[in-house]
Amino acid sequence: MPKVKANSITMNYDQQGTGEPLILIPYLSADHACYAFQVAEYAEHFTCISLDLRGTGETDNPASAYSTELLADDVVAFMRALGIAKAHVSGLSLGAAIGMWLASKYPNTVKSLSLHSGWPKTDPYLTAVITGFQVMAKAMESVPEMAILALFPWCFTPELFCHQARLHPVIGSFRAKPTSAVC
Amino acid sequence: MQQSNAVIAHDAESQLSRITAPTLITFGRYDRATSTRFADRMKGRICNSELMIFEGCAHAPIYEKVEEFNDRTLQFLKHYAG
Repeated sequence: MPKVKANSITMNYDQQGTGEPLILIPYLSADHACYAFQVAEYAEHFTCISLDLRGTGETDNPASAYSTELLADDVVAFMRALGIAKAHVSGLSLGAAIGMWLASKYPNTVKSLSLHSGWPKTDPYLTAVITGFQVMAKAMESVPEMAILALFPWCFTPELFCHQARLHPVIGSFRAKPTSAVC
Repeated sequence: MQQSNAVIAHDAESQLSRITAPTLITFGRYDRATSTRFADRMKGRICNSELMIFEGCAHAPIYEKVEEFNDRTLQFLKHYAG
C-alpha cells in the first residue's frame, strides 16, 4: 500500500479506479478496507482513494488527543500531499463527522459531500453508546472479537447480525492490533 | 481510545451552515446510534442537501444493502461529477 507524509504523520491509503478523485473516510476503528464493497463499483466511475485515519491500519498512531476537526485537517493535508485540489468526499459515521469539518473548514476542496449515518453533535444517547463501547474494548484483546461484540450490534439489524456468516468479510476491515490502539 | 474520544467530543453543529458543497445525507431506518433524530438538523442547516433513508438498515447500509446503497449513492456522485 502507498504511504504519504501529511500533517506530521505517515498515512496509509489505497487507490483504485479512474475518474475524478473520491476520498473515502473510514468509520470508528476501521481501516481503508471497510469500503471494499463500494470501491468495487465506485472505481468504475471515480478514482477511489480510501485512507487509514490516524490510529488505524498502517497510519501512524500518535499518543496525543484526537478530535474530528484534527482528523479533517489530516485528510486535507493528505489530499494536498497527493496533489488533489478538490475531490468528492464520502464518509460513514466517524467518517461523516470528519466530512462535516472538512467541507465547512475547507469548502474549496470539496466537490460533493456524502454523509452516511452521521450526526452534528454527540448527544447523551450516543455518548452512552460509545462509552459502553470503550468499556468493552478495554476488556477485550482481539480486535475482531471487539468488533463483533461491541460494535456490530449497533451497526446491524438483529436479523443481519444473527446471520454472522454474511459479516465475515466485514471483519477483514479490522486489523489485528491491540484494541487500545484502534478505538 | 483517541478515536472514540473524538466521537464523544464531536460538535460540528455550528459548522453545518458553512458547508456549500452539494451534500447527500443518509440514514438507516433502524439505526439507533445515529438515528433519523439528527436528520432535520443536518438537512435544515446544510443549504444544498438531500436526504436519503435506507429501509431495513441500521447503522451500516454499506454492508447491509450493498447493491441498493451503491446504486443510490453512485447516482448522487455521478450527478455532481464533471
